[in-house]
Amino acid sequence: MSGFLSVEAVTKRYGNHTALSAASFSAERGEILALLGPSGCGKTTLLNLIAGFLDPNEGHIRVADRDLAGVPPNRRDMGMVFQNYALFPHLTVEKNVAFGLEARGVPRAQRRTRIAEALARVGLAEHGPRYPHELSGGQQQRVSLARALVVRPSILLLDEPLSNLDTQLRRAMAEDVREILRSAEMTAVLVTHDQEEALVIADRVLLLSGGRIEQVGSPEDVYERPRTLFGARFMEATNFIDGVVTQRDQRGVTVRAAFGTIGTSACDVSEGDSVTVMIRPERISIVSPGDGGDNAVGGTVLRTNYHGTYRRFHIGVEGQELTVDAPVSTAPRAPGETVRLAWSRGDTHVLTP
Amino acid sequence: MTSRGLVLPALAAYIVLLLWPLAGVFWTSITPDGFVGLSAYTRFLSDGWFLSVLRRTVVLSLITTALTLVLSFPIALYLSQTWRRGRTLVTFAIIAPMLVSAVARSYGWIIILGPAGILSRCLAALGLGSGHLLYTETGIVIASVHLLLPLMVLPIAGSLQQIDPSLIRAAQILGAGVTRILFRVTLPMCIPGMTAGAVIVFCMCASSFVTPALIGGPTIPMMSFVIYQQAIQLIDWPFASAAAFILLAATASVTLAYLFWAGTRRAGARP
Repeated sequence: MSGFLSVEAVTKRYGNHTALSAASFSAERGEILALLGPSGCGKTTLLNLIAGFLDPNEGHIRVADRDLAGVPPNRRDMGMVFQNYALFPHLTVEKNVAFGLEARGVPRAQRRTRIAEALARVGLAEHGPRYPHELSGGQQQRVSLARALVVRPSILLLDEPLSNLDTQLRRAMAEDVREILRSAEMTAVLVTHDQEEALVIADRVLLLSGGRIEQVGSPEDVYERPRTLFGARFMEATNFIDGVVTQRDQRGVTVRAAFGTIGTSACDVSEGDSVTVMIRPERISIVSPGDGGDNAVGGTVLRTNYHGTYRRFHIGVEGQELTVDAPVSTAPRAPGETVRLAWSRGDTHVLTP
Repeated sequence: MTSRGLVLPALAAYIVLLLWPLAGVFWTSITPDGFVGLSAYTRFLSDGWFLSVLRRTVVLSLITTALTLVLSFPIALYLSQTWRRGRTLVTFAIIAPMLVSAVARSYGWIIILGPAGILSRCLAALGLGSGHLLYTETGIVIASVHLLLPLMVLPIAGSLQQIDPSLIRAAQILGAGVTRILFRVTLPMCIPGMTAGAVIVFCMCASSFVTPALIGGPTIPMMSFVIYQQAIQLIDWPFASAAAFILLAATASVTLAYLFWAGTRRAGARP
């Protein structure tokens, strides 16, 4: 395996518990990776292994073909942004940013210009003489980012960088973080449990579960085409339909479910297999009677909920409940009304168990 | 009842038990002959011997504080990093001397520091002088450091335990080695604990009676011993009161100067 950062079959055990088992992946120079998963999936362990705060039981971590085994964190030439910011409370913003430069022996004159550059990059040019506790959470996180970027690390590690911020700020900051990392052409590994954060910031998402990598792909891939039931659930997909594969051709697969046959996108299954099919709620439309797509089915409205950016319909179809997220311009329906649902084959995915 | 109301009993006790007697002592000190006057103060301040006692008290207290500070930091660092059982054991070992009365402890030091004591014999064996440390300033400092160590270790250990471990990791990943982390992160963040410990140890040392009285004795008198002598043996209460106030002024000004210095060093740096 090659790549700028390469993680090769890395395993970490704590006693009998395997926190990470044979994880392998690589990142190109300038690529932003997100390690996404619920707590306990091994993402933080993986980050700490890359940083050198933990040693792997098996496997190798290389940066630019240099094996990092036995290299202490302070010799790894990495940067890190912590969940709680971890700014030195007894130092001003400037001194915080200067810390890494001093440790690396950068001459004073150079330090001054680089600190000014880094603070300007995160939009805090005026805040140098302040102390961390005088700044808001978002500003503190920006300082933390500047402090990590100013040393021009070979790799930047971000550990749940936005999870201490409130929702609104988190969304805005996610876009800013991507912009800052892009403009610095930084190779970065982001750890998060927040799927939106991963989708917005990363070029590539690694979905982790139970110490294993479940899926690797672009944000669109991982969100629209989850491979496993776990991945689909984690990405807040809702409609899971069990059935049996009856036919397989170049257009895709036909699955017989309780309420009829469903055409799905192409996948690697055989006729007669029991499978679970998934359609994201926003990919199903409520259509006029008689209209249809690749797949169409009639149902009864159970209830409607208003979510602000969309309207969620719960529809009963032959004893199964499907959820449909439609634009708010769609009129709400009264419980008991019959509706027709349609969705395309390309939005219908067979999950591997 | 507000929290301000809850302070009232403590405030009352403070006034009745501290300020009132203090005012009494002050009154005694300024009325040596039944009239208001500063003759007791001028007598003290114009006598070279009394001034040398005051200087010795302040200097030995400062040395004791400095030594305690230096010795305490590694112990506190060990305490804050060690595993639980070890921590309990070491904490107990540090607090244990406080469970024994100061008199008993000081007698222990008399034996150790005395002519036949183990310390003197070791020094002699090493060829480092033939004398003993009893009735010397060095002896007073050694015994005082032992006595006051826990009062320094505990606040520093408290400060250390409050340091967020991710700060150490942040320093590491920024390229800092052990020494840089110690001097740029750990030590500066202990200043509150060190300040508290230093003020307690300095004041306790300057005002302590038993240890300097037993180890220094009349040969190397400290202020508390002189005050005792004047009050109990010579029954010169006004002069003893004046000496007590001069000691109070000296320790208060050293303490305030230190607090001011420590305060400016971390101005605005409170998390």
